[in-house]
Amino acid sequence: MRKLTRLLAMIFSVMLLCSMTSCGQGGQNTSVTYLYVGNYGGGYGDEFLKKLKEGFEEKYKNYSFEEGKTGVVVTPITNKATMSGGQLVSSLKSQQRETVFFTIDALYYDYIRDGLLYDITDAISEPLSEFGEEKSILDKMDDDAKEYLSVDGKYYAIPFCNTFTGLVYDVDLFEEKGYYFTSTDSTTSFVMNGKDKTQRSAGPDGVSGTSDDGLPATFEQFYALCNRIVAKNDLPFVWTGEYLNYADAFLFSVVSDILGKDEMKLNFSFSGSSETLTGESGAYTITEQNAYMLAKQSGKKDALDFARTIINNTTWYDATRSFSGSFSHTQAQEYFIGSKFDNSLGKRAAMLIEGSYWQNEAAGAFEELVSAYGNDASVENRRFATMPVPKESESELGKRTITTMGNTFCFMNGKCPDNLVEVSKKFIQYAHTDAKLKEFTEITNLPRQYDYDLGDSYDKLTYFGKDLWNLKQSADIISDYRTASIAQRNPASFTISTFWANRSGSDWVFSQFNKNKSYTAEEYVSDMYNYNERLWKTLN
Amino acid sequence: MKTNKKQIGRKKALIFYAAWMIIPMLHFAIFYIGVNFNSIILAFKKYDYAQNAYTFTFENFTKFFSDLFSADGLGIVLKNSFVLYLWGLVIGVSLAVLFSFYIYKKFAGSGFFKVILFLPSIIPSIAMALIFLVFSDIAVPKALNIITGKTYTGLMAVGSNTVFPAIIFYNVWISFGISVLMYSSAMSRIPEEIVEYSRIEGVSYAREFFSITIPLIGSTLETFIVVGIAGIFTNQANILAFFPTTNDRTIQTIGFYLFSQVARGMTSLYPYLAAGGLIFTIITFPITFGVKQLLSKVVPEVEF
Repeated sequence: MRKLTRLLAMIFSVMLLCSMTSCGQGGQNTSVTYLYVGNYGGGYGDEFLKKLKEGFEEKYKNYSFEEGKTGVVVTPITNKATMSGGQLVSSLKSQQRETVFFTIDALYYDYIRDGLLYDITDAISEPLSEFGEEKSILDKMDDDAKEYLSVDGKYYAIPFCNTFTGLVYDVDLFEEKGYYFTSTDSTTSFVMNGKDKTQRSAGPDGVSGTSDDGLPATFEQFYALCNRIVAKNDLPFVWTGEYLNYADAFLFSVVSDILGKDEMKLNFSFSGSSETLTGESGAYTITEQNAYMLAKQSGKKDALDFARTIINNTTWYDATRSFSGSFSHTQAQEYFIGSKFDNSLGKRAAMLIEGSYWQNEAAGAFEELVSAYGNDASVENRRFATMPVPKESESELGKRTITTMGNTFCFMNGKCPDNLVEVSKKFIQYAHTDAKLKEFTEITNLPRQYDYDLGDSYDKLTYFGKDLWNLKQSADIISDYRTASIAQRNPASFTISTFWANRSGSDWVFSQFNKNKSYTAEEYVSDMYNYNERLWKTLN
Repeated sequence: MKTNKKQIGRKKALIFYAAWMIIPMLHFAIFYIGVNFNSIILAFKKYDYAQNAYTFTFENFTKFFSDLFSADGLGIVLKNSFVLYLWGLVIGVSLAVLFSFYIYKKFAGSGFFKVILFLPSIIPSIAMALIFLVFSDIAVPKALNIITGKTYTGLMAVGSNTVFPAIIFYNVWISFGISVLMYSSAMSRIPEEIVEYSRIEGVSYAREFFSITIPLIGSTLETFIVVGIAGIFTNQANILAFFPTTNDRTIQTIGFYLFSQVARGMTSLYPYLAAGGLIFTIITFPITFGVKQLLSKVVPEVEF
């Protein structure tokens, strides 16, 4: 019995020791360099990374990155949970396996402070001549990104793919039901024939012959459109109840367009002068010490008014979905694209509040619709586009302003081992050649914030992808890079989640207006101002 | 000779024991002592941007205390934690003991109730939360609409006043599984002779419950109460499963708040959150031991 006990104890000990072995590295070919690339995935997917892998491995199959090794094997690791937020931070602090990352919500200055990022200045400054290009990655970056990412002349990350949240509308539905105006100053004259573009007004940009013709130019027209949609037995809006932060992000886009580029950028630089502060005449100088005054930007009140009007018109959305914690973003997408074919879902949805990456997330839903209803339901055959934000009045018609967000970056692990530095930098360079930027857009239908041409790839985009690309060319695009040092020292207080904060730990805007239908936009702005004024006293 | 053999034998046994224990001890030292020690040190750190280095400070504690008691701070979150605990203690424990007694006595349908009460503990928590969410947001309003003809919003509709009560209900309900199992297991150890004797003496079920069953499972009850107190500020109330991105403090608990802030990955917040965790540890530690001491005096010691 004693011998049996000892034998069992030994067996269990060996089993226990076996569990102590590390995993993932077994079976590797020791004559080849392994490059692990971390990827968030999400709305970007991982198809682009698989293509990068194929091309990079082929290009360097005979190159030696490490002594005694030839060629490279790129191993993408795509995981939303571990490649963002707290888990990413833990991973960067503790391990060296993944050396290149494509991720979101990365706190650039915090990561640099904690030594989590590698200096890639040389990699992004040198011309990509190895890939047949004259420009460097830095040459292709916009000035906002360069200003934000430069720390004492060095760069530790480059932009990945910032996106924005807006209103996506069903072009097919709009044409079918004639949801277009014939002039920018009428709330009642809709087109007779939705497909006839000549009947349409100039739209919010005030220019005829552009993609926004016939769309509501002013808020009044927008509300009239919503009522028209309801009268024709469709549903104006659908949004996810589980992630009401999407609605906050949508309002962020609304205020961006209302304010315009210069006024909106004040919210990130805390430096300049504002001419739109309610209660202040003339130009008001904004500094880091008084930037809480920006709560009084009139555009913010207009955006909140817009939100409140939507919420208070309960026929414009389905509250049992859009305020249900069980109605996820993918369900909202499925409803939006499926309501055309499936009456059991409910009324046909005209507009969806979503991020510009939404079609990638809805890929599965599109496939299911194709299986059920044929190729007419495919993403290639459906037409969706971004709805421009209306203007306060006809006198303000003009160019759109889009503020992208997400703190999405490509960077190297600060703990990258010396033997993997060269291959990691080369991979970053390769991923940002014009050819690969084009390929990314082709696959994801998302424009990158670099200067590059699409060429023939434009025709391969979906209708929505083309709309996004055209927007990139025509609109003023800015990013929510917080260049103000006070924002960099207090990142938790300056995120998209806190942009509309009217008290400590405040709920999302749509939720607040839904809870209290008598809460006005003026009261909201007043609370926002008071909160920010108090907050400023506590900042580092 | 004999002594030598004994000594060698003892030495070998010691070596064997040490070989067994070294890995778990190392694991404990690194992942419990080390991690918690690091968290305690972190609570006293603050990054000084002027010096580009971490400095020693008590500021994280003063800031956390201030947030805890400020008008629009964490006060509501703290209150939610206590409310959730009290409901769990008063209603959850009472009903769990009652259900356990019912099952222990094998009354009608006790087998069925055993399965139903334990089901939430078997089904993955995220699936359970989704079932509850759909049930309360779709099924309940629909049922009420059929009965009354009026339209109702879901119990878990974002922004509704019924959200936190529904969360309390859910947490109390899913707690029955383990607690009913433990209580009924403790009840089944009660000597059959005592129960038979009480039957002969004409003791009613109610009297048996209060005078015999409760005192005899007192130690199990004591354990649950003490563990519950220790978990007041770590209980996340499954809020992550329902509302992963919620900012609404009216439905948050301290446990969820601390977790969700850490999960955001904002390392600049970590010292502040570490200070918060330490504050709650300092509060909970003496209370837990105090309650344990009190209960050990009140709850009779029984052996059978």
